Amino acid sequence: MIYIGSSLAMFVTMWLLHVLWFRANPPRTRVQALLVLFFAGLLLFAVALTWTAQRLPVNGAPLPATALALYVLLSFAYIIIYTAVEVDSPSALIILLVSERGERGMTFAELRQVLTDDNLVMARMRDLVSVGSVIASGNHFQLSPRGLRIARVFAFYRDLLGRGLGG
Amino acid sequence: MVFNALDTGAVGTALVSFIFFLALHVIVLRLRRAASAFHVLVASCVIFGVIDAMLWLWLIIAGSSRTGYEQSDVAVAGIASLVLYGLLCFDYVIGWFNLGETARRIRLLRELARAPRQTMTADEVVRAYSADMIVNARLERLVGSGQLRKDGERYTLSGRVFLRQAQALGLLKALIPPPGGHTLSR
Repeated sequence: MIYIGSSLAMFVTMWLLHVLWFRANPPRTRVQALLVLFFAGLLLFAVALTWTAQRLPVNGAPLPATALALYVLLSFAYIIIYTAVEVDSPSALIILLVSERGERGMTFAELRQVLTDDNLVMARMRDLVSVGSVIASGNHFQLSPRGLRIARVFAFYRDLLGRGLGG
Repeated sequence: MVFNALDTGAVGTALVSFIFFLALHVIVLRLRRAASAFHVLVASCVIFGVIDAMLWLWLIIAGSSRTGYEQSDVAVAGIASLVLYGLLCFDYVIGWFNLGETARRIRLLRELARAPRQTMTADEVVRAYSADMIVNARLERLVGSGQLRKDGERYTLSGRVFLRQAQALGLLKALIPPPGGHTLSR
């Protein structure tokens, strides 16, 4: 049990460090920074588990691999959730907008006044340009080799599932 | 660091259950194309979660004379295995499946990949993938999952699950403000 508890404690410690870091001095590439931070935590945790196993008496069967796996999966889960902080999800926006209107709700046309082509589509295209997946030239957008690789991976995956373009 | 059979068993059963989950959801989604992806994913995840739990329950009942471990240790490893399996499913569904299913950036890359010379103008992009299509698809999903109700032309809230998720995300945004504030001001 102590191994599982230590895994949770390590995750919470790294999460608190991330909050303090991102509030004080936000890094430019936040998701990469999170990956580096949680990976450093993993190395530290592995060393701590090795040290503990050799020196401290532990009640019950030791579960170091389980503790490490739990830490890794919790870290990935958090990083995935964190990406939603950086980009507003249209579904979340629709839910919040409709909720604010209470019993009256909203029509499709009212939602579309807020959710425009520019902020739903072109903003994402500009993101793709900024990360180098798309090359912008005047009014034209061209797929970069990096973007093509990503598109092919997802085309294969969606074909495997027998599903359409998605989005 | 020394790994024992109970430890590798907890990680191993979670991984094997996850591999079966992956295989099952692919087969079912291919065979039943009209099926709701959400329901297929949840059902596939639950089926192998239950099988994993039954296996660990059997090991607990078998007792320490057959497993070589205290029942309480086996129970802790079993619970840990289920938690690992649940997290594997969560990470896959939210971090990978959803990207293909709903991510606008992936859709835009795929639209460009299909275009002649893999190039499009801004007008062509919006004709292929517009805010109308995005909002319609989300409204359909939200009504289908019971989070919104459609009365005539109006959409009203009917579930609280997505609202709570959106509010929780709002708290996280307040704690760690996103770069440049919110990407879409309301």
